[in-house]
Amino acid sequence: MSDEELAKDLGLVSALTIGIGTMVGAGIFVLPGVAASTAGPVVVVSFVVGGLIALVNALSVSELGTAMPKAGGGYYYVNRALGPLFGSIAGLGDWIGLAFASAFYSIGFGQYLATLVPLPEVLFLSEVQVGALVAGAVFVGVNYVGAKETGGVQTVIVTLLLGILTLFAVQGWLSFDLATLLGEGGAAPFGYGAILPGTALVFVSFLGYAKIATVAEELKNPGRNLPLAIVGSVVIVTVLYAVLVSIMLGVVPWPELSQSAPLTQATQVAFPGGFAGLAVTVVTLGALLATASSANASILASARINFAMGRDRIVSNWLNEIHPSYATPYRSILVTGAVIVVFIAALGRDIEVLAKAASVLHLVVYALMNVALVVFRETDPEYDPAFRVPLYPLTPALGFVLSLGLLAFVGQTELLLSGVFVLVAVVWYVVYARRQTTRRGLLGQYVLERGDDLPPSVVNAAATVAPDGSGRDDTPTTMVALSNPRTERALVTLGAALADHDGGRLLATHVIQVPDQTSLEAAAEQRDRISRTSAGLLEDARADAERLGVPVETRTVLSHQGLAEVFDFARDHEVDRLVMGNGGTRLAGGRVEGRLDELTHDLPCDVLVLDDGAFDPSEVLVPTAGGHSSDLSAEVARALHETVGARIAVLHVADDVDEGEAFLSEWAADHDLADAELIVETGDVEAAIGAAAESRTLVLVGATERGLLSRVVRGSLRLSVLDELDSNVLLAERPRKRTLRERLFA
Amino acid sequence: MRAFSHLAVPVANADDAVATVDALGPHLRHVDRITLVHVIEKGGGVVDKAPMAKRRADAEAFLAVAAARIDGTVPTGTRIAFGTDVAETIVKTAIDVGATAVAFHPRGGSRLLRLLTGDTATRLVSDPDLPIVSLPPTDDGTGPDPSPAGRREVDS
Repeated sequence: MSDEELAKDLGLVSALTIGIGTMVGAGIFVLPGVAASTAGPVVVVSFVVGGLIALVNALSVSELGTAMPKAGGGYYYVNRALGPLFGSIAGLGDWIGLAFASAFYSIGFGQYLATLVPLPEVLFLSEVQVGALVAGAVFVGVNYVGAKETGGVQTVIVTLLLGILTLFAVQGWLSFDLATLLGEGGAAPFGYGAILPGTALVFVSFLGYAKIATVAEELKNPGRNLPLAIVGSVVIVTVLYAVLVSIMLGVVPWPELSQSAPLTQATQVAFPGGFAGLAVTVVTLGALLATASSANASILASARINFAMGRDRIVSNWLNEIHPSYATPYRSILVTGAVIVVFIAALGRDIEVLAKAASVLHLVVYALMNVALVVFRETDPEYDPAFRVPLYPLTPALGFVLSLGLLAFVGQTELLLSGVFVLVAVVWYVVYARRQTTRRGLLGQYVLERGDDLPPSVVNAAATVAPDGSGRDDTPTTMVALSNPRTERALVTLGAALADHDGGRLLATHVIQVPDQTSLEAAAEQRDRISRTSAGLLEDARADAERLGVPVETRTVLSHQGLAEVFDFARDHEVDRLVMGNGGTRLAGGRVEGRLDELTHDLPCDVLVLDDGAFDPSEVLVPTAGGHSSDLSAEVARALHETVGARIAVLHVADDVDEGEAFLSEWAADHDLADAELIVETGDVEAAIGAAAESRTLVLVGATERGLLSRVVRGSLRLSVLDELDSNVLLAERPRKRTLRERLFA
Repeated sequence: MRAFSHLAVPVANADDAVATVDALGPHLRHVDRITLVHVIEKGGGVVDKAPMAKRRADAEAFLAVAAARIDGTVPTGTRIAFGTDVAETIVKTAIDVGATAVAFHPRGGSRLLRLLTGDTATRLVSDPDLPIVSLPPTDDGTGPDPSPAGRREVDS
C-alpha cells in the first residue's frame, strides 16, 4: 500500500459512524421532550420533514464533496464559488454554528449527568450548566491533547449506542400504546401548523452529515464512500428518529415527557421493575456517550473549518499552528472551546436557543452551498464531481428554498442572534479578510469577465466586494535569490539599492537544491559545492545589506524543483521584486518545457536577472522602445540614479531622428528620466546598443515581449549583442497583470 | 557495508529537527547517507486530530529544516510516512528505504507528556528490527552548520 493510500484511512463504515455518531446524540437523547411539548405527537412528522430537508442538502454536499475532497467542507465550496465575502459568512457561520451545536450537546450531556450525580449551582449557573461546562472543558481538553484513539473506538461507540437504542425500541414496543401516543388532544393538539416550527427546533439533530464532508480528504475512495456515507447516515438517523420518538411518545404521554432526560424517563416506564434501574443507568451512560461524541466531532470539524479559512487568509493562520508535542491544532481548539464555554454560560438555560441558533447558521451555510453548486456547474469547466445530484437544477434549488424557508419557523430571538454573527462575518470581511485574501470566487470572476453583457450595477457590486489583498503587504519586499557566493555581493547590492529606494526590506534567500536520493553522484557533486558556499553566504548577504542600511531578513529555500519553488516562495512571502543571477535561472534546468513556459509566463512579481560578474551601476544604459517591461527598467534606472548616483543614458533606435527624439523625450518625461542623457540613433538596433554600451558599465534591458526570461532560462535568447558586451546586462521583466479595468474593457 | 552507512533519522517537529541534526553533527562524517523521516500519526479509522493538509505542509517544513541544517554534508533524502503507531512506522520506513540503522534524538519531556504523547522513544528501542541509535544531545548546541538559515525557516 502506498503512503498516499495510508493517509486515507476512513472507510465507509468509519464515515457512516461519524455521521450517525454526531447526529443521534441530539435527536434521541436531548430533544424529544422539548419538541413534543411544542408540537405534540406530530413532532414525529417534524423529525421526518427535517430528515427530508437534510436529505436534499445531503445530495448537494455529496456532489460538492466528491468534486473537492478538501478539509473545510461547506466553507471551502462557498468560498471557491461565491468568493470570500460569502466564504466569510459560510466559514464563520459554520464555525459558530458548530460552537452553538457543541454547547447544545454539552447541555444535553449536563442534563443526563445531573440525573446520575448531584451537581452544585454556581453563581448564575444552573446545575445543568455546571455539568455542561465541566463536560465542555473536558471535550476541549481531550481534543487539545489529542487522545490516542484508534479506528475501533468510534465504531464501538456507535455500535453500542445503536445496541442500546435497539434494546429500548424492542422493550418500548412491548409497552407501546397507540392511545398514549395520540393522547387526549389527538395527533396534533396544536394543529398541523406546529409541524414546521417543530422541524426548526429539531433540525439540530441532523447537523452531522456535513461533517463527513469536512474530513473528505481522509476518506478512502471518496467518490463512492462520501455520498454513500452522507446520504446513508441521514436516511438511517431519520428512520431511527421517527421510530424511536414514536415509541417514546407511545410509552410516556407527550405532555409528561421529560424536558431534560426524556429517554431515561421512557426507559423507566418501559422496563419492568427489576430491570428498570439497570436499564436507566445503561441508557443514561448511552446518552452521555452520544452527546460527548457529538460534541467531540463538532470540535474536530470546527478546527478544519478554521484551517481552510486560514489557508485562504480569511482568518489568521496563527490559529492553525499544530502543537509540537500533541500534534493538534490547539489554538483553534482553545478559541472554539472558549466560544462554547461562553455560549453554555450565557445561553445554556434555554436549550432551544442553542439548538435553533446552531440550525439557523447551518441552514444559511446549506443555502449558500446549493448556490455554490449551481455556480460550479455553470461556470467551472474543470468541475468534475464523481457524484452528481439527481434532477439538477431542481435539487439544489429545492435545497436552497427549503433551507431558507425553514428559517421562517425558527423564531425571532434565534434569527437575530444568528443575524449578528452573519453581520460580524460581513464586517470581518470588509475590515480584515478583504485585504488579506486574494482568491476571487468563480462567480465574481464570471461576472467581471462578462462585464459587457451584464448590467453595470451587477458588475460594480462584484467589483466592490472583490478581495484586494492590499493589507497583506506593509513594506515592499525585494527578494534576492542567491545560489553562488561569487555573485552574492553584486545581487545584494542591486537588491539593497532597490529596497532602499522604495523604503522596503530585503529578503536574502539561499536556494539549496536538496540532493535527490535517487542520484547519489549528483548529490556528491553538490555536497562540495554547498558546503563550501553555504556557511557564510547568508551572513555575507546580511552584512552587505546592513552596510547599505537596508533592513534584511535571511532565509534558506530548499528546493526540489528549482525555479518553481523560488517563485512559489516569492509568492508566499508576497515579494514585490525578485533579483537573481543568471545562475539562479539555471535552477530550472532539466525541466519539461511546458512546465517552464507556464512558470515564466506566470511571474510572481517583477523579476530582475543580472548576468554573472560584478555590479557596477555608475554608467547605466537603458535601451527602450517603449512598452510594458520598459516601465520596469525605467523604474530600476531611476532607483539606481537616486540611491547610488548612477548616471543614466536612455537609448532609442528609430527610423527617423525627429520622430525618435519626440518619442524619447516624451517617454523620458513620462518615466521621470527627463534629466537622463537621451540618445537617439538610427539603423541597426543591435549595433546601436553595442556602440552605446561601450562606454557604459551596465545595460538595463526591459523585456519588450513576454517570455524574454523564459528564453534566457532556456538559453535560446540570441541577442548576440548582449552576449558580446563587456558591460553587465540586467534583464527586467514585469508580469502582465490584467487589472479590473482591463478585464472589463479589454 | 558498515552498520551506520545509511541512517534513517526521525524528525518530530521544527525544534526537534534542529536538535536532532545538532546531535547528529559529530557523527556525520561516519555516515554515507541519511533519510529524514517524519511520521504523521493516523487514527486508522477515526477523524484525525488535525487537518491532513496542514500536517503534510508542516511535515515538509520540518524535513526541510533538518535537510537545510545537514546542508548537503551528507546526501540526504526525505520521507513522509503515515501510520497508527509512530515508532513502528519509523522502523518500517527505515527498512523500506534500505537504511542500516535508525538514529534519533529523544525529546525528553515529563512523564505525563510522554504518557499523553505515547512515548515514541521507549517503544522505538523496545524489540527493534533494526539497530537503533539514541543520540546524546550536544552541549554547545552547535551542529555542522550553525548559520541562522536553518532556524529562520522555522517561522516562515
